[in-house]
Amino acid sequence: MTERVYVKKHVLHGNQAIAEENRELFKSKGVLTLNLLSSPGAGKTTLLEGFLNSIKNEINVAVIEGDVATALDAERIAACGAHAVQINTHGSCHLDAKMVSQVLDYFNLADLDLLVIENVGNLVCPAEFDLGEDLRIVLLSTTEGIDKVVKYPVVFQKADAVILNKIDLLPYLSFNVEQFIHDVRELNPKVPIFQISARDGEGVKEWTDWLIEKIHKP
Amino acid sequence: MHEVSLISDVIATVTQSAHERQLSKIHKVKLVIGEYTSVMPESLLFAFDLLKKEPFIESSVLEIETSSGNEFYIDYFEGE
Ligand SMILES: Nc1nc2c(ncn2[C@@H]2O[C@H](COP(=O)(O)OP(=O)(O)OP(=O)(O)O)[C@@H](O)[C@H]2O)c(=O)[nH]1
Ligand SMILES: [Mg+2]
Repeated sequence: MTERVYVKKHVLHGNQAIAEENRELFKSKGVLTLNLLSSPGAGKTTLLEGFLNSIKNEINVAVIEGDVATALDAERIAACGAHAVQINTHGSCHLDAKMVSQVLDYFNLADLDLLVIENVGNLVCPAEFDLGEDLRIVLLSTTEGIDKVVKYPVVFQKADAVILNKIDLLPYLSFNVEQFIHDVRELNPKVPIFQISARDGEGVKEWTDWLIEKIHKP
Repeated sequence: MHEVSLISDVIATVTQSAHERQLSKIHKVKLVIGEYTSVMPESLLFAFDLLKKEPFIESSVLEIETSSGNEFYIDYFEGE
């Protein structure tokens, strides 16, 4: 006799459970955690380099770097004097909560104010995987084109802040900033939007101030 | 890209649940996928056919219902 068994279980329930454990741990240690998302090369690491150099003496920051291969990004972070651990996903297109939980032993969380997780460069898959972060920061760079917001809506919908990077290149591009802001707001009406040049440092301070405020009163 | 790992999770969950109920064969697995999940049904079907190796699940079919919204869950499975 064939029987039907109702499961009604989220496919990512395994990930979600571990993410909640991570979140509890971060909370108990008083660490604000960021999940930084963008497509490859949008400028996540460049932003972190500038940020780390500017807040070095104010807050204690550590970074988890997620990449398919190499420790290049962790080396760039370490060169800024911050503690960095590289996760190589060996082909996987995203970090998941378990990968993050497995490297947490490398940090002294109690000493940290902020833990930044730079996800694998990808606007699609990482959006599905909660890592236990407090805030999701999504970066788009002007060279990628304005249509990326409507083409990859999920990641923008779930963002706690959106950063438009490489505004120094605007004079050479047909990127309509007003339209960009409009498209983001359609998906996520209240999200703060920052316009920056991670390379030149323009606008980075506004984002940093916003973040520091979150650290002090999350 | 991660459809294969998602399906291996689905198979693991269903397998465990089937064992708990002492079922020896699974005929069908039904998933519900929201349109905002960026999971590709075709890739899931492909991955399912690739991964259903164990004899008790090898003849089963995967059915996918698409819904609006963000959900992505195993609705039910059928077996004996
Ligand atoms: N012109 C300009 N170039 C930038 C800016 N920010 C980053 N870049 C350049 O963009 C390239 C990629 O920057 P990364 O910081 O490595 O990008 P990423 O998002 O960390 O890349 P992945 O980790 O590989 O996904 C580098 O060559 C940077 O110098 C910017 O504001 N303006
Ligand atoms: Mg990087």
